[in-house]
Amino acid sequence: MTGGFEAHYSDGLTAARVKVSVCFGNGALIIEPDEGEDESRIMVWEFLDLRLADELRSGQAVRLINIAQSDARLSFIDGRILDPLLEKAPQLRDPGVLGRRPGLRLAQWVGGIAAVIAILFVGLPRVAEPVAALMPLAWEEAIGEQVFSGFQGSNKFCEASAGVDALGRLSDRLLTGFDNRYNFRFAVVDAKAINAFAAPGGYIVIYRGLIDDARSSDDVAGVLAHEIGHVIERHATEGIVRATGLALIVQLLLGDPSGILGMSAASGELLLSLAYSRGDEAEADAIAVEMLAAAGIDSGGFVKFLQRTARREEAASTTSDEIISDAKLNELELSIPFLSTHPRSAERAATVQATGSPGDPAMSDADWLELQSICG
Amino acid sequence: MIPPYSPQPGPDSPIAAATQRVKLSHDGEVYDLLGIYFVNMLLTIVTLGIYRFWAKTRIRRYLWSHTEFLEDRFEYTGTGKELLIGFLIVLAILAVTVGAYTLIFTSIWPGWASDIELGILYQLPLFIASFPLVAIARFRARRYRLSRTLWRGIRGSQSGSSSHYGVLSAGCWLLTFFTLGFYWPYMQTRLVSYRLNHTWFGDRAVTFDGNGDDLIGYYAVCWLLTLPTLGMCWFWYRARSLQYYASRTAYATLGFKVTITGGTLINLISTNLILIWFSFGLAYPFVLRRNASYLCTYLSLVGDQDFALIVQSLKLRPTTGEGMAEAFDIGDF
Repeated sequence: MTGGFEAHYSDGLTAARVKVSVCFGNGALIIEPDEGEDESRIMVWEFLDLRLADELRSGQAVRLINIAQSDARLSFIDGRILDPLLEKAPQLRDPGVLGRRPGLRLAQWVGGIAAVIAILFVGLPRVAEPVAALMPLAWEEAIGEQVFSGFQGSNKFCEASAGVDALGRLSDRLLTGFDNRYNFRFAVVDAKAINAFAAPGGYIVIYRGLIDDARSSDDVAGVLAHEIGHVIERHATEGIVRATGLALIVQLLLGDPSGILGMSAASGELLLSLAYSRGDEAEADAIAVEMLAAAGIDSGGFVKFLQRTARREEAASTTSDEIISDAKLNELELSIPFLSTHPRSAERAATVQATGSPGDPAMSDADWLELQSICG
Repeated sequence: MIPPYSPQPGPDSPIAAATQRVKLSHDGEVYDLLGIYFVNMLLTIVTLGIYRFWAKTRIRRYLWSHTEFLEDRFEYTGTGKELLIGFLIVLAILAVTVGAYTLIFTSIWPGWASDIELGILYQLPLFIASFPLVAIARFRARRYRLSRTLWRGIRGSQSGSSSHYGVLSAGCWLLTFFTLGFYWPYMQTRLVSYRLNHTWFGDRAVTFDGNGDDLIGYYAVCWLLTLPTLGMCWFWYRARSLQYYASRTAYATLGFKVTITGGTLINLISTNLILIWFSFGLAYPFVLRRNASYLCTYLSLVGDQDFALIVQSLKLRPTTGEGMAEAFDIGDF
């Protein structure tokens, strides 16, 4: 046969090749071995079954695949067949390997990215709660211990023994009769910020600034009860599950899962930057109110503390001097961490005021003095 | 409609014989590669990194498609999806095992994160495990790449066990450590031997019968020359060992010949490094192109082979790709 396009044909069964000439038939390419080859083997490749083996580039020799005979290859000497071939087999224009439509591919990509975003912002927060609820106590304590000791490494803890004993008596009073699975540990860190945080498994850290800022031991008792509430409701654990899931996904996107190794060590810093949701804060406040009432402690101190915090928030957002009535509020900067992790304090103060009950001072005067000088 | 022709294994074709000495040739255009590379970078950024599996696939398809042996081009049939799935599987396994290890470690030694010695104790098993794991990852990545490499429609493949290779590699590292480095040529040769002897094209395996004994002399001399030559002799050693490995390798009736020399290797590697450094990596396509040309210039196959005798292998192929190599960030093109 003459006038066909010159090509080499490999049948996909052996690595041999035969010289063939190819011409257009009815709905198919007709492949005919040249003289001297086994001429009985005329092959028919239907246009619909044709795919390109390579990305299409101008001037490049064309190589074809037949999906009905997937290992066979038809390699043309040059690219001359391309234009007439594209007319007969328009699916070859698609740069995709298997002839999927470009629109479909784009939709798949957009869908995939939307799925990732949905997992990040919708799926992850929902998964965190059940995962945290399933966590055994030992795991929670292991995480908490790690956060706590990581924090301990970079901060000075206050350990005046009389103050530590006084704090112990206060926490005992709060926890008496409050059934839970945690073995709480309290510590005061020598830092000026008006702040406190709870790590998973019962680790609670109070900043010296918070004690300095308190008008009475009731304020401190309220904050302690609130942090105990976070622990019991496993809010910090949920936060760490969320953050770990987020880090996992980010590592996945950036392609370096070996970074997961270093992640656990960084979780202490991470805990400080976790923002609790409005619902989490309300839950912890409800527990605090219940706990104060059970211990017979006046919840008014906690209310006043929240009101002071609310004023600081407002001052921080308006920076209007007249609102700052208290000299201690000059150190606005220092209160920023507390502000950022405990938002909407005015609303909370109102709720606690409505649900709280009066009672006795949280600590004896002597104990309160000892706690105030716990940092020496 | 004409019924599709179903092919039968034909008689041996007289045309399918190789000539005496054949080189690979590469006709890729560096500007095509640059185009692919920049589009890849853009899409990788836009998709927050996920496109990198497809990016790598596109580069490989181009490189394979433009490398020719006996007038027939190679073909890469891997897909980005396979690479992504392989990566996700390994990511999940790694996250679970390392997570479980961290939890167990923490329950035994709480607070290890703030203690330097315990921190080292924590890292140590991970460090030790990384030796066999990196070898396993490389071996598995190689299996995937070979299984997706076609020539005249015939697939490559790799047999052997990746865990065996991992243990072999870790054992060799240990011996190298205890012999103060003098086991190195033996290690290299044993690993090359395992890889090559488990490399197939169609139904025939590559054979390799080299031995570290033949390199240890060069290796010792190279140690003595390290200071006087400011380390340059190691290029010469590398070239020498590659020549040796090729001379001991055969496929069916074909032998291999490598004519790489220390001088050309210094030229290749130093120019590549300069290109990468001064372009902040943007010149990577030039490096790919240079490497392909280098391989084609200095590697040739010697002998005659009737390719009609080489039959498609029906061995199972991996269905997902290179997960571990991706995870350890050692996957290359």
